[in-house]
Amino acid sequence: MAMIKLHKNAAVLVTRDDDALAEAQATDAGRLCIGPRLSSTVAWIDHRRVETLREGLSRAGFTPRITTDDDSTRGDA
Amino acid sequence: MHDSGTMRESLDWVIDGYPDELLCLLKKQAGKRLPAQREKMIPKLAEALLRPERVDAMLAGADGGELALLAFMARAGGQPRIGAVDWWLRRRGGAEPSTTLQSLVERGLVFHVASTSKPTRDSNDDDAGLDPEWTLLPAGRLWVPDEIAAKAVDIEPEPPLPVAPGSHEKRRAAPGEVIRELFLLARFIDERRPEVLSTSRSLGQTDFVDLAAAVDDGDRYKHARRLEEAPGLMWLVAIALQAEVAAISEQRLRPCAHADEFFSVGLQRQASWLLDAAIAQTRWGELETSASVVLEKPPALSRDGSDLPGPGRRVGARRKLVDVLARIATPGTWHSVGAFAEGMMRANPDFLIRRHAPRWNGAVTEPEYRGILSLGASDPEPVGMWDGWSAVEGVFIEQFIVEALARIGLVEVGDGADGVVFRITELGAAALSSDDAPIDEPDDAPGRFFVQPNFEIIADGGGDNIGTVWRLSRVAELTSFDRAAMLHITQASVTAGFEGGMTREQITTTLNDHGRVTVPQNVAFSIDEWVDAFERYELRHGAWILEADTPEELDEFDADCLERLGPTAARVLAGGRDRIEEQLAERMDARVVDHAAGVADAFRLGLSMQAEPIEAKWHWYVSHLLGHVADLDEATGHYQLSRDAVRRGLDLGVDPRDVEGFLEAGVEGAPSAEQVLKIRGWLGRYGDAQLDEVTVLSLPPDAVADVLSVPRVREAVVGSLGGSVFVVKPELAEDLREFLNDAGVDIGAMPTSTDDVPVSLVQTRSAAAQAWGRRRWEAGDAEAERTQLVNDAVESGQRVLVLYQSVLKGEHPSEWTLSPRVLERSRWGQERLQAYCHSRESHRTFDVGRMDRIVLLDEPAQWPDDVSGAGKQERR
Repeated sequence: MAMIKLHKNAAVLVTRDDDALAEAQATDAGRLCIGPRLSSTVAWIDHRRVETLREGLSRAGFTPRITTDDDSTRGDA
Repeated sequence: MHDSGTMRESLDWVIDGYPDELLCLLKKQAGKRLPAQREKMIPKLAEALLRPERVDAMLAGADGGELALLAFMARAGGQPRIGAVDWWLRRRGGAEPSTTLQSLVERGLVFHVASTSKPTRDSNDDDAGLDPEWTLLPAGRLWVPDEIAAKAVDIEPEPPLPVAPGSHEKRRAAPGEVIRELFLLARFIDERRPEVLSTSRSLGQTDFVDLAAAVDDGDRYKHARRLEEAPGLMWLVAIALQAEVAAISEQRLRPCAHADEFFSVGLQRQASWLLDAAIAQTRWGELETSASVVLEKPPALSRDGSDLPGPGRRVGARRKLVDVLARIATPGTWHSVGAFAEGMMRANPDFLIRRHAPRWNGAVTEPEYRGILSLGASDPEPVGMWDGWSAVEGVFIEQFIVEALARIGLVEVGDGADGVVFRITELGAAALSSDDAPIDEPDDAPGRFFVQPNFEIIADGGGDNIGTVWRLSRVAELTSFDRAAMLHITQASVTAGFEGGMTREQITTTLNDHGRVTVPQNVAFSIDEWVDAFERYELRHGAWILEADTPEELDEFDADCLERLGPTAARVLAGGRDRIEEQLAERMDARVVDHAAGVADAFRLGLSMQAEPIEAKWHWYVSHLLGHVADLDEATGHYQLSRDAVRRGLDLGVDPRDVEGFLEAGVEGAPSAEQVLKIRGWLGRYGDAQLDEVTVLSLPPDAVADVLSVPRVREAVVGSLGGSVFVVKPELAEDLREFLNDAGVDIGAMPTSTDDVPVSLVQTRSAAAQAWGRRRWEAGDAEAERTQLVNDAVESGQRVLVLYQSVLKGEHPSEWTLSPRVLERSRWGQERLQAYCHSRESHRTFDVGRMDRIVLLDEPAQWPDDVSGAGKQERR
């Protein structure tokens, strides 16, 4: 049976382009924390491991930023 | 109805014809409680009655004291409270205040205005609780008409503040210094904002204690070393908040966006800004830091009320204080703070705390401050209002001058013969003046700084360049700040600038457009890279995601509430969450998954450790995590947990605590004890266990005492396992057997088990059983001991058990039994052991540095091709 799911308090990784997402998934932390893709630039991440992923990406030389999804604007995801 | 023109003519006729009678009538009416409309008429009639020639005649009959009183009343606003007038008259001395006032009222120079408000107990109100029969004067105010007030002020001008005699040692005089302090404070809280305020406390002064403690730790917070003076710091924080240089958000101090503007304007505008902030701020109470008085809050049900000035009253008091200061002090001239307090007292004694009228209790009784006690040598005592001015209002005035005006640079403060003295500076004269003096505008010229190829910025640290330094410090780390400011551009500092709300364009503009020279190419290139890295990834948590099986299903929801992430997924915008929930509630096929709720009961776990996900509780990360520590059976969709699979997950970097929590919480119901044991054991939680056979001596109970009394037996026994069973050294077991048999304690042939054997020795070849007395080396011990132990094993021809870390990345250490042959050192100083590995049945060379644990076994070394130990000839 088809089902509509509303995920609350979920965590997602938003990347600038699809290459960036692939690159993140290839890191050690990415393999553990990044889940299925929602689009070419957005993927699920384990909401309990946001900080782990941030540290992993930081170790890889990036400076990911953590944001809380509490704004009502569009176009920033 | 009468025409208004006719009314006015009639009134003029009455005033001209019967002035004395009308005045008498007014005086009587004024002292009564009247309806509001009639009460408003009295001042109007009185003003009309007091024609200039009549005022001159009335004032001509007044003496010097009366004129001074009228001038005082005029300067106090024209309607001082009776308590204040009584207090002023008593300080001046002379006739009883009631007599003087009665005379003025009788002559129509002063009118008594009855209080129309009900007595209150909680305000600083001299009407409170007054019994008219006990007071010398009725409650209310005294009112002096404007014509009389203006004339009296002309006749008795306000005396200027006297010049403080003698020389003065200047204590604080640094216009603009507070700007630098604010700059440092803003930088400090920007860098340390998570630790500045406790999140558990409400806003208030106590919060600043945390800040003061943090600032005190100057070794850690280099920018805060000059902020260690706690009272000044608290004032500084209060001013920073009031001037909107800083703001409190989520119980934490943060730099405010307004800070950019504040630090960019000129010093004169900043000073005016800070003066307004110092007057208006409500978090700082000058009396609260006084060393001479203690403030008490009144009991909630007290009828006495309290004179403690509230925040609003303090703000008004500061404003009046500044007005009087601007009026009577001479810029550039030293004045005594005490003399100014006296001047303030003459000008407006009610500016902070209203004077209470004296009480009559058989004699005139001095009123006291309520809620304010003096801190003497003994217990705190009440402070009388007639003599307590300097201890209360005087302290307030001094605190405001020294803490606020001097810090802002509006006055210089020093020590003189009359105590603390002050002098209004040029900056202060401009800020205190009510004239529209020209305000210095910020300099539009390029900032005085340049960026070096080594990522350092050198900037002029002068006060007029502080705005530039402030802007730079948002994208570069401030490393020193004195006459010159040194900053360092790093990836972290650029990232912090972004997180602080700056854009790529602002960063570029800050560095390029205002510098003396162009930003070096290598620096610009690095900044671009850092900006790219920052914009590359965003980890967003707390998101609401709507997920459908088909795009058409998603299209059925309100598109204005969604942001499409993909064909079948969309982010629910914060403003549209309620709407989407409403739409979901109407559907039968909707399910809400709260990721914060955890993964309880997400799968069933069988006895064979096979996990079956429960469809209704499915999370993507249930499969994700199970996939890391279990093998998926594609046919059934079940996951087989096993030791190897868990080990593989650990090798991948899965956090064992995370997996343990997930597995134990995710199992439907609760995992069995065996399952918990396996989960924890496979995750390596327990470390190494040993299950060994040992050599034991089991004696008949009657023989224990006699046998153990023999020294050679005691020497062979290592310890007791309880009762009559003892652990024996393996190497002495045979000797012990012979001795005991010879002694008549018969021991049978070597059994394989201790079951039902009354006296037996069980010998084992287990390596662990030979642990008694053997040597070992563990990671963490001195490395020299490791070398020594390996060398000894080579020399003695004993086997060793080693925990060896492979060179292959990610591979776990393995436990191997080795027969060492040669210990050698490579040309690079690496210690290598040639040995026969019994575990892999081959000759190998081992890096001693990779051995995490070495146990010297009591088994002789063996080399399959050289069992005789001929290899010893090769040893060092």
